[in-house]
Amino acid sequence: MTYRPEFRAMIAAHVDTVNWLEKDPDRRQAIVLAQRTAMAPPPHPAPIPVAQTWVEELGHSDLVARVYRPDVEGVLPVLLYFHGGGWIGGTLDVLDDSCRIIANSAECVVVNADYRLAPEHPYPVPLEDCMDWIEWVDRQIGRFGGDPNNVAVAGNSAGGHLATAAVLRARAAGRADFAAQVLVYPVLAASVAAGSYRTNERGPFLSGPQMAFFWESYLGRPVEPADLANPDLSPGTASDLAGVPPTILVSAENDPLSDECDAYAAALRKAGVPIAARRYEGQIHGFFTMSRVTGDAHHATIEAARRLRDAFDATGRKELQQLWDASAWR
Amino acid sequence: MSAEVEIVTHPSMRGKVAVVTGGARGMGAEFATGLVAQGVNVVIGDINADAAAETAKRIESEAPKDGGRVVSARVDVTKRADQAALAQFALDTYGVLDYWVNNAGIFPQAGILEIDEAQLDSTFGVNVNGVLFGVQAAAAAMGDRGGAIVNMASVSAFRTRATRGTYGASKAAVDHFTHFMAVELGASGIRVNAIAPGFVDTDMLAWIHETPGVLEQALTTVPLGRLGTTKDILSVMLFLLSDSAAYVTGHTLIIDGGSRLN
Ligand SMILES: NC(=O)c1ccc[n+]([C@@H]2O[C@H](COP(=O)([O-])OP(=O)(O)OC[C@H]3O[C@@H](n4cnc5c(N)ncnc54)[C@H](O)[C@@H]3O)[C@@H](O)[C@H]2O)c1
Repeated sequence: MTYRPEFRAMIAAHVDTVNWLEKDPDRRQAIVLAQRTAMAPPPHPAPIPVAQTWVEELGHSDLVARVYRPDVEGVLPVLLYFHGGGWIGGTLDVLDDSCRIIANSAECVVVNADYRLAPEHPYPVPLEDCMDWIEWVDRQIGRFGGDPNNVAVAGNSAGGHLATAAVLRARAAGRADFAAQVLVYPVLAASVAAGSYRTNERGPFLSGPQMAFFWESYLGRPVEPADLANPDLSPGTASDLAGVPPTILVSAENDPLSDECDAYAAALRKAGVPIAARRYEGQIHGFFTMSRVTGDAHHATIEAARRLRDAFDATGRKELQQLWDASAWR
Repeated sequence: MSAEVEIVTHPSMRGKVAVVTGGARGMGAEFATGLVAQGVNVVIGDINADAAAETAKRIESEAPKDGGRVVSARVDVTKRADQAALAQFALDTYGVLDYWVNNAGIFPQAGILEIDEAQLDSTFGVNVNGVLFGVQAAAAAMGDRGGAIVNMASVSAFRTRATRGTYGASKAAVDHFTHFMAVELGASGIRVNAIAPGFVDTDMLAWIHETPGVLEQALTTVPLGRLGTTKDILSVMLFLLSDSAAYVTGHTLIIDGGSRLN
């Protein structure tokens, strides 16, 4: 395992002192709160300019979304983004930069949407909140000059999990197909047995046991083998992937989730789903939102946004795959 | 003769976004190439749109595997609206803007008694107004999140040779303007510096090769004994844009092999 040089000092200094196997509910809750603080972003740098932003309420449970519109005339495609944070943490601030970059360069309206968090609100509450945001977009996005018939979803880590699961649910409920899904090191399988969980046993930044703790917080119990057959929990191992929207997948070499990302990319390709996948060598889980540490953060954002624009404009799935294959993801 | 310049890697540059004006050829093309090699995504803006597109295509095809992207757009730097549109094009293409190089320039020659309105207007239009409008466009697209800007001045701002009055005065204005830009944009985290090259072997220096003896005469004024290469300037430009120069602003670095001293 190699790490990009910008992480070497941090990794040398990294010691994981958290007892992820803690069973006492009070002490588990204390870990959750400490994790929420650790995931909060450093003081927010000034925003990347976009033409206009709004803060919108979902209408229940105090949830809000930030809506960003780039300096482009006319009705624009839409990206609905769900932040990461192990289902227990994360905020809209962490994704603010990424959403602004994507709005500008994919020339779309971006909705950076919040959802309630586990363990206070375990599965299926976060997923249902995401479904509500999809419905909100379908009904409301016209007010912001967005096109409800050209919508993509996105998310990083647990947010990528929720996006993937929500797409399958929406499809099962008969919603028209999404234009694309943009997944950044998503959680795709309710299992902690993959080889990459072993090789990243001690992290850093996301360790195998930590991921198991997140699963347990989300479900209120450890994962079970049967969870692999539940598309809400394991959207990446669904048996019928043919209807999945074109997928842009960013993953990191040093990540417990790298195996499930690789497997998903291979499965989509086999199922004929347009896929643009890039595994960032030397990178760690979480790099996408670490723009002040690693240049790969904005690199990945810009490259993903390019391909999202391709998907919004695509005339067909075959043409899209050809376009993606023809353009190297540096 | 002095050694060939060494170009170092600046890890802080990877994934960033830069605009280079006048990037179709000469130093601007070298800057675009060098930035792409550092993993920077580049927009080349030039009044010669075809040449800019050609250059972008060449750079893209020769870029290293982990290099940045490069696209081109037409810009007349003398037009404020053109430069605003160029900045917007960078945002539309890459989503964010981190660096801007005001490189487009023209080099007229005329004695003090011959300089006319047309020469003054065109020279100041490109070399001075063009730099100011570039800084305005860049600052608007960078917002308050910071960035770095490099303006191209010239050693002609600091030394005096007959027939270079218009050019030297325009480049002296760039040097002085850079101070005000640094002061006023510092609070937004935007650093503004300038480079003042001496003799650099580009198309702009064609005259030096045209008449036998002129090159030899010019070189007698260069302590390091050779013309500058575009890479000599690139190396300093990368330094000024990168976080290596995080506390450097409002400076003009003269890169001339010592020629200003003669
Ligand atoms: N070459 C030297 O020895 C030397 C010395 C000192 C300073 N400089 C300065 O360095 C910069 C680059 O010089 P170079 O030698 O590469 O020049 P160059 O003439 O080779 O290239 C200049 C580029 O700027 C473009 N340009 C001109 N007017 C423009 C406009 N209105 N809008 C947009 N683009 C325009 C041209 O099309 C060209 O591609 C200039 O500012 C120049 O004054 C050069």
